[in-house]
Amino acid sequence: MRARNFAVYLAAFVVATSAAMTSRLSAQSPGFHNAPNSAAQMKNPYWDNAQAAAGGKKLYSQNCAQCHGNNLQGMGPAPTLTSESMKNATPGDLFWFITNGDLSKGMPSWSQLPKQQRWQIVTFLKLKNGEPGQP
Amino acid sequence: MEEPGNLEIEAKGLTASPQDGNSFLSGVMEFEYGAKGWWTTEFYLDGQTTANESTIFTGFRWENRFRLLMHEHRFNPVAYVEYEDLSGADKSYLEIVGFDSRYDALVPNRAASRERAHELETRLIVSSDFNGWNAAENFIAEKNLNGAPWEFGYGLALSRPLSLLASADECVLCRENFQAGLELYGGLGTTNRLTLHQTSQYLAPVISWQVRNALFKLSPTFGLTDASFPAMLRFGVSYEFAGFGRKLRKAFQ
Repeated sequence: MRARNFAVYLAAFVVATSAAMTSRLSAQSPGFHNAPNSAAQMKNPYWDNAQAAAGGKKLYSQNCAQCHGNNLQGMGPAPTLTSESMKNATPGDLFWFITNGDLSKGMPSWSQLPKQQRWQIVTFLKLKNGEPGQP
Repeated sequence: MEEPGNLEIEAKGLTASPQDGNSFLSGVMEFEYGAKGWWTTEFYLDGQTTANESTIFTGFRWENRFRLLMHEHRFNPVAYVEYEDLSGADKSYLEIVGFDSRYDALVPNRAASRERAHELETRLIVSSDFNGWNAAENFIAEKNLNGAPWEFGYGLALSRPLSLLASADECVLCRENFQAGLELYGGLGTTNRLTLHQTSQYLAPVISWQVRNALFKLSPTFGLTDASFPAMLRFGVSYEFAGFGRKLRKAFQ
């Protein structure tokens, strides 16, 4: 009986958590890969840091190049990372997309990387897209 | 979760010297494939060797993990479903459920091998990342399909890289390649008796070291209750084959 009660509480917790998260999702508006407006407001803490960008290059090689190519050219279903939409995306949009991914389209979430390292990758990508000074 | 198209092969080991019993070393080969961004599938082969007894293959497991939410949140749930076909002599202790205890390991291999368990293991894994820390909570419910009651267990883990920033240079021994953590796990009884009493409970510091595509793990594990092994050593090495699925498809085109 106690086990059944526990299972009911657990199911209620999962349903309530999912509902709360779904309502948060509905607050999003279409941006770079459906990034919410708040993402664009995030500032890159390493925007002018050459060391951080070099670390981002290494992280890109380790985690991203296998799909997007060593020169960001894209491979198969993984798109190029030097497109117009990449150039137009804010650092915050990119950070949000790297963090969340697009699981249904094959882009994994990289949230297991510390956020400092995700910003390093953003710094590197922005640098490769000719925007070293964008915060 | 494994990245889509990647294959990770891991060799896991566990060794212990139970009081009143023979020392043993168990080994598990794990093949983990990222089928989709939200789905990872794994196949395990289990075996063990016990001093003064024998070396035996103990069975296999097939596991699937499904990410329940498509975006990152403060808490990220993953559903885990595993089928196990293992003999009673399995000593890999990948999970502790019900009243699993150190006394189970005292049964000689010859006798324990006669028992065959077809089990369904389910888990709800909830993980969260904050300030570089990763916290993961597991709730485990396991059912012997031959009719025994559901057995429950849990796992709590906290880990963090030693450095949150990546250095500019390629390096092997730099701090960002090391991760330290602590795990607490154990049984929670069965549907007939949900309790911590007479269950095994373990506390285990974990250190891991990433060298390119390889990951080494070491975890001295300490028993907290009478039913637990006083000490075990868990270790593992894994290697990730990036883009395995794509290369395989190419080879057959």
